[in-house]
Amino acid sequence: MGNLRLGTLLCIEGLAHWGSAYREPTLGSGISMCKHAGLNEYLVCIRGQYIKGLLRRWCERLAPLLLSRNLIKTKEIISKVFGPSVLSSVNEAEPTSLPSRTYVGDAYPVKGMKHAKELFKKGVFAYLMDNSDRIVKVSTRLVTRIRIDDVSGKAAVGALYHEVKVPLGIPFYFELVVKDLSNDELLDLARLLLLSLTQLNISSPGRSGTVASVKVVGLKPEDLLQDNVVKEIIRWLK
Amino acid sequence: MRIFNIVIKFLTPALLQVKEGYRGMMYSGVADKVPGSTIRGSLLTWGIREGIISEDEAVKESLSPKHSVTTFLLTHETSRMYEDTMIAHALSLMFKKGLGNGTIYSLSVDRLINKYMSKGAILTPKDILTELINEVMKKIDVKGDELKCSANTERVMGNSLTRVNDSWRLSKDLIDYVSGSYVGVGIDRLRRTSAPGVLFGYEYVESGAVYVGIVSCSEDSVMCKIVEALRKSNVVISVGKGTGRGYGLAKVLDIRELSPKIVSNVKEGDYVALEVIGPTFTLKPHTGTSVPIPRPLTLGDEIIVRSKSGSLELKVVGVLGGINVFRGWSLRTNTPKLTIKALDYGSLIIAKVRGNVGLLSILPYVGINEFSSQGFNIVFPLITDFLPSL
Repeated sequence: MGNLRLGTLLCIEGLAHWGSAYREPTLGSGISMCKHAGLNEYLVCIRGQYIKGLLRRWCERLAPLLLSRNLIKTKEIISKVFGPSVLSSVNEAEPTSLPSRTYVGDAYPVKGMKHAKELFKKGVFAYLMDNSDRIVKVSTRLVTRIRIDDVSGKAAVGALYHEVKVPLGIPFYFELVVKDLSNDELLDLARLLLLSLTQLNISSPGRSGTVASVKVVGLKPEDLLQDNVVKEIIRWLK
Repeated sequence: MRIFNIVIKFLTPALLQVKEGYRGMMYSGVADKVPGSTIRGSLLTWGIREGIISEDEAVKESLSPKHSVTTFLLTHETSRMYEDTMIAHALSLMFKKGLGNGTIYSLSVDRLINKYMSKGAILTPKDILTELINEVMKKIDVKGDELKCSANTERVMGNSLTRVNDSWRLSKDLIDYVSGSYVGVGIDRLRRTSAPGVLFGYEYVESGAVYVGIVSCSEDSVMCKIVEALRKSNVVISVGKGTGRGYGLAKVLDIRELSPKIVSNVKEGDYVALEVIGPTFTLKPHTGTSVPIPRPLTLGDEIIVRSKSGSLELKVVGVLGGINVFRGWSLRTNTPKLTIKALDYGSLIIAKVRGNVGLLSILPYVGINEFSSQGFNIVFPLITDFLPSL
C-alpha cells in the first residue's frame, strides 16, 4: 500500500474569479479568502473543495475513455478517492470505517515554480505555519459588469453588478494526497488525475471564463514517473 | 496511567458540527470547544493512516477503552488545561458594563458547599440558589447602582475561559479567533451546474484557533502508542468534518505529560461540587422502566467510581445547570450514534462523598466511567471556586 502525493501549480492567465459567497451586497460576488495561520492575515486562495470538485468532474468524464483504451483497470478508483457518487446507490459506497483517504488542500498564491518546488519538498503545512515575507499577498481588482437584456440586446435595467477578480499572472500552488492505495490503484489514479489536470488547460477552471495553465510541481511515489503514460502527460504539463 | 496535556492549532478552517438545521441545510458548529469524541476519532484515524496501529486495534480500543479524552477548549498556545483554561460553571456570570470589564465572577461554589454542609440536603438546589442570589444582590446593592440591573449580567455557563494573571475571561474575547459561515451549492452531476434546491451552509472556526485538552491512557493502551508517536514528530492531524476538502488540519503544537493534581481537604461525608467538563449522564433506567437510555444525572442518583484501591461513592444531592442533547455519527459502524441527553458543559453536581476520597483527584482525567473515552462523564471537583466570588 502506498500514498500518492501530487503538487500542482495553477497559473492564472487572465482575470480570475472563484468563490460563491456574496460577502458584501454592494460588491456582489466575492473571492474566497483564507486566513493564514502563520501570518494571521487573510489571503486570496482557491478552496480545496472547489479544486476537488473540479478534478472529480474531469476524472468522471475521462474515466470511460481511459477504460476503453485499457489505460486504467477500473473507474471505481474515483469513488474510492473522491467519495461515493450521488448517482450510485448507498451500497456502492466504499465499505470503510475511516474518514476520507484523500486530502485536497486550498490553493495558495506562490512566487513561482521554484517556490512551489520548495513547498512540495517541505510539505504544504510548512507554508501554513510560515510567517516570513515569502508568503505572497495578492491584491484583488473590482470589475464592474452589466447583464445584457436578451430581448433588447442592450444593457438591462438595474443589472449592474461587481465581481472581485485576481489579476493576471498569479501562480497558485495546491497539493493532493491520497493514502492507502495499492500499486495498481496508484497507477490508475496518477494517469486519471494527470489527464484531468491537462483538461484544466483547455477549459475554464474558475467562474466567468477564468483561464489558467497547469503545471505539475512534483509527484510521489517517484516510481510512477517510470510509467510511459505518466511520463508523457507530465511532459505536456511542464 | 499517563496524562497528557495536548495543544493543537488549526492550520485550515475547521468544521466542528453539532447540529443540522432545517432539512440538513445549515450545519451549525461549536465555537470554543472541540468534543472529546471528535479528538478521539482524529487520533485513532491518524494512528491507522500512519501505520502505528491497525484498524482492528482501533476498533478494539473503541469497544473496550483504556483511555479518556476531555473536551478541547479554545485558548492560547502555552495554555494548560484546568490551570489556564476551564469551562465556566453554573454559578459564573459576567457584567456587560461596570464591574470587571469582561472578568468572570462567581456566586461562589464555596458558599454553595457551605450551605449544604450546614443545612444538609434538606433544601432543594433552587432554594439554595435563591439564597445565594439574595446574598449577592445585597452585596451588589452596596457596590454600585449599575449592578442592580439584571439585564447587565450575562450567563456564561459552558463557555471556555482563559486565565489572565489572576482573573478569568471568555476565551472568545481574548484570543484572536474568528468563526464564520459559508454558503455553497450542490453541483448536479448530469447538468454540471448548480443543482436546484441544494443550497447548504456550514459554520466554521477560522484557521489559527488554538485548543487545549487532556488525553489520559493506560501504559499498554493503543492510545498511549499514538500519543507517544505524536510527541516524536512534527504532526498534522485531521479534525472534524470535510478533511478531504482541506478543512480541519491541525498541527499538534505541544504535548506535555502531567501528574494529577491531588484533591485534599475532603473527608468522607463531605459535600463536593463537581463541574461537568464532558457532558454527564447515567444509564440507570427511569423508575418503572428497564431500558438503559442515557439520561442526565439527577437528585438521588449515585456515581460509583471503582479502582484497585477501593471505590468512591458520590450521592447526588443537587444539580445546577442545564441539559443538552448530543448526537453523533459513528465512522466505525457508519450509522448515527445513540442520542445522549446529558448535563451540559459547566453544570454543577453537588454530591455527598463516601469511600475512597482520594479517587476524586483522578476524575478530571479519567472520568467517572468508560464513556470518558468519548469525552462524556468527565467532571472536575471544585473544592474551592477558581473564579473570584462576588
